[in-house]
Amino acid sequence: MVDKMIDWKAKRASKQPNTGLGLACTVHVSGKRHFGDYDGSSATIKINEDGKALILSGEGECGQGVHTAMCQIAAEELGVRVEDVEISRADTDLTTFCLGAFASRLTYVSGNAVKNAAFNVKQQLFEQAGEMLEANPQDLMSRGGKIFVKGAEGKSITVADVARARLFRHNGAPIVGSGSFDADSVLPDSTRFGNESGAYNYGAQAAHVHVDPETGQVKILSFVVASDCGTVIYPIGAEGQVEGGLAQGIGYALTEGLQIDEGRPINPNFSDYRIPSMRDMPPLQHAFADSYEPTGPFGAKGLGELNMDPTAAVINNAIFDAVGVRIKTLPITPEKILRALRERTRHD
Amino acid sequence: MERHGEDARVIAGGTSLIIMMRQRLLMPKVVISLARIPKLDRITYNSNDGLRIGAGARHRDIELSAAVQKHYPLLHETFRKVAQPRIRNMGTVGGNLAGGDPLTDPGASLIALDAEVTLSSSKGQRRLRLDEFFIDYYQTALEPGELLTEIHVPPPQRPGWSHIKFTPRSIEDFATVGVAITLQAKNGTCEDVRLGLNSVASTILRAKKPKKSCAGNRSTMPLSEKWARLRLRSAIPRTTTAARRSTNARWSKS
Repeated sequence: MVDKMIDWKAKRASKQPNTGLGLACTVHVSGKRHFGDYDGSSATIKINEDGKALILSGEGECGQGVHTAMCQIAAEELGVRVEDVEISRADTDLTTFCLGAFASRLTYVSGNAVKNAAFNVKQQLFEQAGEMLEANPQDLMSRGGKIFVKGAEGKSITVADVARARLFRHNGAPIVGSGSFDADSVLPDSTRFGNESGAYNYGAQAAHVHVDPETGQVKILSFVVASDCGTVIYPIGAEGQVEGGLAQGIGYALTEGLQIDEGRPINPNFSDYRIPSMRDMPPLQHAFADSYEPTGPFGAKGLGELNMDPTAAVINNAIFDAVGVRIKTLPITPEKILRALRERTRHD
Repeated sequence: MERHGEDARVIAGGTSLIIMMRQRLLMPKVVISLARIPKLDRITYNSNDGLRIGAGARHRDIELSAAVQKHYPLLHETFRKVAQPRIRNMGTVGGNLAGGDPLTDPGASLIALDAEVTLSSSKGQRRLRLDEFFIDYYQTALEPGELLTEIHVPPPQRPGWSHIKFTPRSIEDFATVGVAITLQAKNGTCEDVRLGLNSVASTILRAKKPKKSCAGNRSTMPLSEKWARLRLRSAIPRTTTAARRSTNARWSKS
């Protein structure tokens, strides 16, 4: 796929001096069993009297968009509008035990926990709605905040009506339910052997670069990224993960590197430790694989780190294709490229 | 400033002083703000006198000034390349020059344009050519109690110009080499040239040899490689990190 996106054959056929193409593929986990024998997540959902759902979860949002994805998953499972689902910030006093955002795990692990919690809550809603609609709970469906008998959408009641009916009566009770999920993975042994994750994400990237043989400077002319994260739940968030991941990958490949001098970091700030800025980003094309993860919530799995895994290899391959030198330490600075080019000239 | 002497530091945009204070390279007891001095950020131009830039003018003001864009495209190009708009909207040109940081860009282009600076104190004012203002790493000709108040750029003497900022890492990085040039050519012969360099030595500097080797030389390519090498012989670019390291070492000793 990436070869077509970057127009590999045509670029190869009309190769310009000092430009090169590179490609690399990768695999990443969706959660990783390593904090003891538990890599799970849990969530609680309560239905308020106005029919809105609130998710209580200890999983943190750090800008990646997972809280939006969790609301979408709950809305889909509950059959309510996504704008009627809210989510709490993580608070260890109020929310259930959660491990946090690492190992590209949240959409997959906490998404499943939220889906299970929503399923639990939906059963309670249907039990109450069954009484009100004089129907068997198993025959009910919900969509857009309304509950109805399958095949008879005309006669419906709202989730808000159901929640209120369940609450405001003798022996009334709120509708609230929890769910959890722990993937079918194993704790790796001392040799690190073991299927440590419930699902695996795949990716491929390609880049077209130009290397200035006089300065060693690398300019990325274009970059393409293809990611398999199963079902894309939250497209804007997913796109952001691709772009952000790639930016980290490019920084890792070309510009970032902590310098230590006599035991002291000498670039402990962002003017000397350079992460790529908006203006450093190359033209980027991306695509998501048409894929479905059977164990994921609505077919989804992890995405975040996938997009920075192969980037350094992609760029290094492209540099090798452009000027024929291979740099074996990161970051690949212009100085290293120049040194390698000079060394090669000396040997020739 | 007179009362507190060495204990005091002046702050305008704060884009370099605050960083130095955070890194414990400077720990002034008193910080004196220039924010309320009227007209310190003024930029004026007339064709006889040239350009006068108040020390409090921000990089972004200079970059976007209509007079600068029209009459001093080299300055527009240079200021456009300094860091990024968030920094340019805060940092002032006076702070930049008075900081004496050899890695920054504006000084080289101002040298190439024959700029001079006005230094003011309670005793009066004096004027200095900008290339004589820079003395060493973070050291300038400013005396205790003295303040850089204005930059004067005469009407452009040489119409040809170019600016190269080489940044190996991010576009917003400090330059590894910065080169600013203004040049007067007639019928393909270089008559006059001035070259300012940054990030290549302990100060921003004016390359001294160009006149001798270039003026009167006929060349279809003014910046021929041979010529450029001659110019840069005294300047040894280094990696930005290496420059930083020596800078930090210098500061930690003082």
